[in-house]
Amino acid sequence: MNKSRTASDLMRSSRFRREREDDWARLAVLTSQVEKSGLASLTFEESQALATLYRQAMNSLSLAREISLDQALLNYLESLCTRAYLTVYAPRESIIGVTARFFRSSAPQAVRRSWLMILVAALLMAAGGVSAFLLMQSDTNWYYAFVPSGLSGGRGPEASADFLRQVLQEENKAGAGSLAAFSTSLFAHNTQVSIFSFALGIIACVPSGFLMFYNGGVLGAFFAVHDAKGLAWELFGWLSIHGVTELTAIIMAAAGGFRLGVAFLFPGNVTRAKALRDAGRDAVKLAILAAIMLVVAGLLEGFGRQLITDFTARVAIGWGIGALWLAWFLFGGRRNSRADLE
Amino acid sequence: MRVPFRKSSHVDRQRKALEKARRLSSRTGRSLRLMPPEGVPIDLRLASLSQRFGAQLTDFAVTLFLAIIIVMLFAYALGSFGPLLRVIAALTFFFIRVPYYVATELAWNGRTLAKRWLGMRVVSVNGRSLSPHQVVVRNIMKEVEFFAPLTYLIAGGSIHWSLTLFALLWIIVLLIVPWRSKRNQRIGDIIANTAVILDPKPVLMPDLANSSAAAVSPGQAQLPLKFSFTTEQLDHYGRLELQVLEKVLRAPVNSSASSKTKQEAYMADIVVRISQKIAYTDHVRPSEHRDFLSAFYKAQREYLESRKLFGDTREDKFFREKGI
Repeated sequence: MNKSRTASDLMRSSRFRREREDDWARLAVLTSQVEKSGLASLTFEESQALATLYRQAMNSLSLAREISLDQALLNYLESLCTRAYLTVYAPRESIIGVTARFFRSSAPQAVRRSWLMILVAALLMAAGGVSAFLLMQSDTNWYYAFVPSGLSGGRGPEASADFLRQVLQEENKAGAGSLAAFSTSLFAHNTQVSIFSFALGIIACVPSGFLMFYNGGVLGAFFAVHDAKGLAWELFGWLSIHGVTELTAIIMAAAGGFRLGVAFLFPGNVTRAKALRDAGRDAVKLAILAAIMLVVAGLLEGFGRQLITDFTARVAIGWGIGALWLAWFLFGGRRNSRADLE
Repeated sequence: MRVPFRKSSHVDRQRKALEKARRLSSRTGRSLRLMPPEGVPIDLRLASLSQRFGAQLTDFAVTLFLAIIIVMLFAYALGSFGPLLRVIAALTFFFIRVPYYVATELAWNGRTLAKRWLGMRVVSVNGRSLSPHQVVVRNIMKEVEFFAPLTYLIAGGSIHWSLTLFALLWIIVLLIVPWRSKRNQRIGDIIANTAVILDPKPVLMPDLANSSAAAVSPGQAQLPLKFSFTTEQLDHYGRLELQVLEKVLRAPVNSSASSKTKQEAYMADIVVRISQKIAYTDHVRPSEHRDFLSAFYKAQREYLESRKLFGDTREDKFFREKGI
């Protein structure tokens, strides 16, 4: 047990360390360089060395765990390997690349894969609209059940036809400030509906479905008020310019929620967590899509509706943009998916 | 009473596992075991909830700051603070958050600005690299989990008081999740299969087994010969005791007089206990305490390592019942 410790006569674990120490130090230097200035800052030889040294260090760690009882050494190797591992297995995709891929292929593909959920959400919203419209025919008080006061902007069943027309034509200059506030609250309302219908989809789809129905109800009640004054067609134009995009956004968000809810209810042959994770891939894309569409709708609402008061132009712009969305969903990323299959 | 050395009885193993778990948790907080593609598991230290809250608060301030700058630019361009600006402000703050988190975490390998400053990062629990999808999911869920109900609470629920209550409950429930989670994961982390860890800092300490030169002055070059131990004397301790001794030896020598005497007393105590335990009869002078301990450390480590090579792993001093 009592030996003099010259280099050749070190204990095994010390020899192990002495032989590899320099490589570890080099790996540490390379790793911190990558952390500071990115992988692109390495030369070809350096990046090659990084990969080799990383594997060697991993090897050292696994060996050291077997042969060494030096806690400091084990801690060091563990930290070094973790650091190098995080460098070597860093995400390789650039933000621009990810964004481009989203718009080019993954978003429309996700939409096409979720067509059934989108259809269900749209039908629920339509059902809400129709039933609210019919209920309003029998009793106008139903209006207050559907439309929150902040949202109506004074346009209830008791409002005069002139007032309604003025609002639609943006002629009511006195109300311009309140109109902007109204747009804000409408926008906030729609964003909230979108977020909640996405988030609540996970609770077995029911709250999302209810939200779709309710949102359709708001719309139906609105139409009924204007229809009673013979302004339904004007309201259609007023809503078209941003509503096409906005309602589609809400439907997309709800469809995302439905995907999660269905995965939760019917996971099939995998665990619920796994099913949720898989469905989450498309659901998240739908949510991002909904957010983007909401921004576009907000811009249309903020600028387009105030600048363009002509009925035909409103309808044309609104539905034209709607057609563009549809074309994107239907034809975007077709070739890519075929290339993936081959 | 002497209990014969047992390879590992069931009760012993259980007790050991329990002790080990307690030690691990008391020393480093919660840890996460990752399996990289190389097949060598590595343990990472998880960020605590307070650390994560701090980072979140900092990031919140950063995004708020960015949003204010953008809104001020708009105000400058528009030349007025009309209602349109209010719309823009609301929009900006809402739509700056998720892109900020996603972009920074993608560009800097799982670190937002605050995480960079505070030495934390997001990792994928499955041991692969963090995918853009995971980053997006965990940050969108953050919106759903906290920001949406929070905005709702602050902006005031105009629809019904029950919805306000619901939002409050929602936040409370979702705050409980990471607290109860084994890996400090919030719902977004669970869905995205990610965890937040503390950045490891590799520091290579000198090898105690061959750096005797550091502790011993050149005149005493033959010092390692001074203390010698027999195999029987090295048969008492296991890995745990060895590594505790390592910790004691690695502790920096304090400069202040009072803590120095404290440290010396501590070391003297250890020397006495070890001498008693292994029946070391020679007297060890106080000036030689450190040398004695490092000599014992080397001998013990070499012995235990060679035992380990033969498949005899000694976790701790379990084959004797008396304490040190």
